[in-house]
Amino acid sequence: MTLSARVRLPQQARAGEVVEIRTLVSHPMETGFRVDSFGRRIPRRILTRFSCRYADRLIIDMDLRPSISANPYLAFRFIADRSGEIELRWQGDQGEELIERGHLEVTPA
Amino acid sequence: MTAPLRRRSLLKGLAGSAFVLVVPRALADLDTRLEAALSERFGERRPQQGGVELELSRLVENGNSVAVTVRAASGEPAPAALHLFMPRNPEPWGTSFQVAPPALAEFSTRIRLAGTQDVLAVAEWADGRLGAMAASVMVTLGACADDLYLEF
Amino acid sequence: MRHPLLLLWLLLALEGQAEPLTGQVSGYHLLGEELQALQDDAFANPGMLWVDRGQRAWNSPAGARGTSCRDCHGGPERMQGLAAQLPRWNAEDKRLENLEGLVRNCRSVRQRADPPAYESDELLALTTLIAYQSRGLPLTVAVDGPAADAFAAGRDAFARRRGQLDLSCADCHDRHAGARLRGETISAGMINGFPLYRLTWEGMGSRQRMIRWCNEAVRAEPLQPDTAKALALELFLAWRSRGLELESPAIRR
Repeated sequence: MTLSARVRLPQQARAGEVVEIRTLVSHPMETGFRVDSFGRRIPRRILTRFSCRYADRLIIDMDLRPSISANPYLAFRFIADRSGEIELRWQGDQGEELIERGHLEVTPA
Repeated sequence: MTAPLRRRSLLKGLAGSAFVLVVPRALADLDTRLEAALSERFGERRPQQGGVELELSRLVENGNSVAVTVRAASGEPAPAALHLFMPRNPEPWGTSFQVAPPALAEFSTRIRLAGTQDVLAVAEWADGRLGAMAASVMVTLGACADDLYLEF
Repeated sequence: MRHPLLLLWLLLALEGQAEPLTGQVSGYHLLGEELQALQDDAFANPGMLWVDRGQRAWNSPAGARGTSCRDCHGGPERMQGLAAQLPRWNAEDKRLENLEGLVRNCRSVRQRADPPAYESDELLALTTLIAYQSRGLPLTVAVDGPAADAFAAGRDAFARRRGQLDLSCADCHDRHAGARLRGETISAGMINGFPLYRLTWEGMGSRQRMIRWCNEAVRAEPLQPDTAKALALELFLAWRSRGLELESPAIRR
């Protein structure tokens, strides 16, 4: 399946509020350890990196390995401290890349 | 839908509520297969018990997708990274989650487990200190041959 | 072991206190809490990736006429109820038609495009999107009138032993439903969750893929999709699951 993502991004928050990002991305995360029914090794094909930038700061940089399930799910949280762009980026070992963006508006507490 | 079976309540007693019940393992008992993976990432450094929390089921139904949450223990300064290791997987290093404020040192994902094993979570602080927690997970086998799925 | 059934019974006897499953019990109830939660999570259920992709495919023009599903049908919500009534008798073609056949037929005849391959992500995206519109609706298939012969053939296929293990569908999913086999409870063979995300597959599959997988598990020649026998069996299985809520995209082990 072509690389595509479901993301749940916060759009508004009060300063200091803890907000959550949830992501689900379509990818086989083929481990390279499996063989097909003819005994041939199925080549490795995985996403290797996920990163999140928030208001021009790299806040998450994650290495992904074959032990991450197919169609990777990830949820994490951060403190909303200023308005800005959220950028999520997945990179794979075949040179593929997927970027999702959103804007978080932060109002004074 | 039909009422759940009585068996379910038994299973729940054993496993269902175990979604958050973790069986911690002493680090001294860790799988020797971890050594190479730990050396690769941490050199000579080895983690002390504590400083990180690992949440996953005691008993999982299929090793292809196991929910897991890792977070820095409360009261700890924020670590720079959280790592996951699965010693009985072909490649024990599972993931490294580098984190910087204002993100919280916490993530949830789904992992593969190639059989029953002790999963290890490691927190790494900027000063080089390492903290760890291990948890035993039992992976059950499905009813029919699981290795037949590639063609069909 | 001279007779494979003996082996099965031995395994079941060892387990001892199996509780039989009677009537229609969705496979949902055989999942642990964690996997039930995954199915119920409208965001994180991985099957929703196929629903999303189906939504995009629904709106995209395809084939020689450059028409999309939307151009003829409107929104996918117009498909509500359809998947719960399949397979059904197609009077024009004088054969049973399931969800996959219906979509492939529309693609080739109406849109004049190459029909997407069985079990391709393209086909599963559209079938899952369509089935999702019927989520929560009870399965109700017509088994009388012109479908009566196929229904009888399906009932026969369900009861007939096959493969090197010489087991019928009924041996496991009727007579021993609810018993334990290795770490798993034998299901009642309900098909209300399809297309579904199976962890063993790490992906989606149709009812017919599951039938073929089961055939393989008893070392039988897999029934090919789109054959009269396979469709008849699907009709009988849908009738056995009658009244259960459609759960697609369900999660199963």
